[in-house]
Amino acid sequence: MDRSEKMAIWFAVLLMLSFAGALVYAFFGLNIRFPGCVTDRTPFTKGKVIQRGVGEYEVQYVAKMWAFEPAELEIPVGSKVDIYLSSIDVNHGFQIKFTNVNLMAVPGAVNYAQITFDKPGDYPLVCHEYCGAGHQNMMGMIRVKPRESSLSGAVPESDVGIEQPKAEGLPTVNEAGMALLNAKGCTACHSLDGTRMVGPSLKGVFGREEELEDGSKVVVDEAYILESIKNPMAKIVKGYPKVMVPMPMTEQEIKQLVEIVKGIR
Amino acid sequence: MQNKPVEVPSYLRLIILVEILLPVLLLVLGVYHGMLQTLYRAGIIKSSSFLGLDYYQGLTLHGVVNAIVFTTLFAVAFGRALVLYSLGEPSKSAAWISFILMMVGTVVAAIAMLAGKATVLYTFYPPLQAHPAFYIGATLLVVGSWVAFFSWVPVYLKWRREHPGVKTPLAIVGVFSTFIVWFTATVPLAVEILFLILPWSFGWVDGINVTLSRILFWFFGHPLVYFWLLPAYTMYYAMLPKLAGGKLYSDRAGRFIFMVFIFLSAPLGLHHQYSDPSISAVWKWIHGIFTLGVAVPSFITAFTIAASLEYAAHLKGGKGLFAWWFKLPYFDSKNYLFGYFFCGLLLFLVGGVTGIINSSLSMNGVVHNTSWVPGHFHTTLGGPTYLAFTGMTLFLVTSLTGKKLAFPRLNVLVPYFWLFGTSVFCWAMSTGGLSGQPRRTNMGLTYTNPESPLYQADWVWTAHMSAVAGVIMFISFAMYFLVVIATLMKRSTEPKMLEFPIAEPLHDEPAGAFTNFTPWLVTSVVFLVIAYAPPLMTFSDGTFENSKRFSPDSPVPAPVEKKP
Repeated sequence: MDRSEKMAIWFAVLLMLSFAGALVYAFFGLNIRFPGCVTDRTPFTKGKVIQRGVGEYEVQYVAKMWAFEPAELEIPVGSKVDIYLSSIDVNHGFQIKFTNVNLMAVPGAVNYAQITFDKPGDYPLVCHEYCGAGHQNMMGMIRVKPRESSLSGAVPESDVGIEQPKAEGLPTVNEAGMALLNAKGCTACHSLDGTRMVGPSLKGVFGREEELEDGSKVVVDEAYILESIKNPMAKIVKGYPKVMVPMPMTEQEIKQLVEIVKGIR
Repeated sequence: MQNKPVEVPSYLRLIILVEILLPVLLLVLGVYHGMLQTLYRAGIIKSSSFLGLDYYQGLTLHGVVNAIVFTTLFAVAFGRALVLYSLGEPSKSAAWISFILMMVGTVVAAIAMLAGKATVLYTFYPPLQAHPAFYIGATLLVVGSWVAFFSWVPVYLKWRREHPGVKTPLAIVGVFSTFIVWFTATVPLAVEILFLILPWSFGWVDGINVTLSRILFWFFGHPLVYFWLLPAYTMYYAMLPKLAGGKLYSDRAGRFIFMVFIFLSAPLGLHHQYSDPSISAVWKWIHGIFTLGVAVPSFITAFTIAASLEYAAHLKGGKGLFAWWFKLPYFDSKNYLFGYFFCGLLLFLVGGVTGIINSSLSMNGVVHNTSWVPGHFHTTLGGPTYLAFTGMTLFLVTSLTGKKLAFPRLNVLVPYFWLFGTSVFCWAMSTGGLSGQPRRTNMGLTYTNPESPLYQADWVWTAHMSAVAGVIMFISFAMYFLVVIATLMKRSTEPKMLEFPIAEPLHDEPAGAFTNFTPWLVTSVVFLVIAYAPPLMTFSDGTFENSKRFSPDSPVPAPVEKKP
């Protein structure tokens, strides 16, 4: 082995050792952390926002096909947020744009990251792991508000949990109806409270006039709801992706669903 | 070192030709959909499918064909040719068995994907579920490659007994380290498929341990990348110096790096899972440090190959610190392999550096699962691997059929087009990734679609640049495909003899500690136990065994089919 070759090997080894040193410094000196093993939380199935104190939040994010829960989070600038993340179906990604929060949501496990939002603005929350046909629609939003804007009322002062999705709009659907909507996966993409998710919200959908992809208009009646359940691709509301597929269900269940959807006010 | 033309028995000629030409045919689909993805992502195609092929279905094809089928079939064929050339003829029946297993596996998996029953991407993370045929096809392909490899071992042992004191040909060291790495990689894959996925996808068990399956997948997934790389390294060490007109600078460096890959390519798969929950940070640290270690042999390769090229250039009158670079046969159409290898090396300079960045625990939050990652591996898998494999395919086709290469002057440009397209692609994807652009996402429907409420204006320009790059890469492949087809349509005019351009070493030292594989195999086992036993023990205890089956089309778990 000649001299220059030995030098090349030593150079490579020393360079890698210095990189290893840089990693140690980044971890302990700059406090750049990566996920470890969370043992103080068990996997959860509902999204939740908990205000722990002034500008201190714990958010329990649930990733599911194809939305995050809570879909929107509004917090004042300077907030320190402990993010816990789990999935209720397949693997999902979780990256907050403009930040280095970058996690995997794995079913049966809880992930964790902490972040302080120093600048106001909208921070899209993007799923970056393929999770099925609607993957490209799976985005949430964190809105960081300037301090002067009024947040009174939006965020409770005390340590209380806000269950998401919001409970308004729900009373028109009884428990059995909710169970069917959940079981058939409807609520994964259609909100009941008017929030825009992957598909159009079901709130007040009966009797509403919708504009379709081709520009034509249609009034949502029983026939339209029935068709949209059985053959979702037939008439797509303008601006929404073509991702819905017929769910396996009986004629009886379809009839029930049509009635339930009619009743969502 | 033996350097004589060898006649290939006709059955083996047929097997090798099918094993290298079928992947080229499948690459038409794989590369076509690679280009289409760049168009979808840029929002030029705003649809979930195009010409009957869904985006994610095409992405699955792109990954499985390019990264698994093409690489495995080629590596086996290349191994067959080199073993025959350097050592002797392995068992004929084993050759047929392995060939048939791999062909059946490829066809079965391809049917599942083309039928849209396996749109789970090449990582097939449960609980997304594909049709069982997809997993069975992949298993047959892997098992077939094992049969081929195991049939070479007795040939090697016999050769060793008959040649005491002679060094094993470096190319054979390369081939065997390639397949030792492949075997190390595919055992956890087989465990994942046979014990976790198949019983679950057939509905025999109710749930699957998702975290365990992820760990097993990346236990396979990282040594896999060295399985892609090592045949290219074999060509760089054993052949490139000769093609350049010189000698291999250091024979020992080659033996050293191949042995290092045997024990360092596997115990670092967790670096794909830095963002995963429920894996202790300690094990992420250990795998991260090992990853830095595996960069060392690539630095040595950069030095040794550059030194070999410089030596060759000096023989041709090249002088100075840099002026000698102009003395190399970049555009010699008879010596086209040089261009294929050289362009791959240039891309791998980028791939190596971005790879070290990916290994960083603190950088992971910036790049994980963004388009940075495909930017990286298109300069490794899509760089040296693709170019060395396609170049060597041409060499094997012409040698085994006795046909002269068609369009030699077009062919010599192919790698340079690829180099240009892939460089632009890497730059565009990396830049997009740094601004948070996700990988594996049909962005044209939402993020790069101005009509969508999810529109992200800052992601558009990089997506457009990568579409330009995708088209250039496709053109390069189309040129290559034309050369292959036109060559096959020619008459055989040359003797059907195989002679690899094997380089002599410049500094020829005894192989010393790198003579036999055994000590390095033992080291490999020790490293694997250190790196994987504790994390695997943590996740095999059944804590997470509760994930149902999910089809990519529905957020509701797939119903269990009732068996009569």
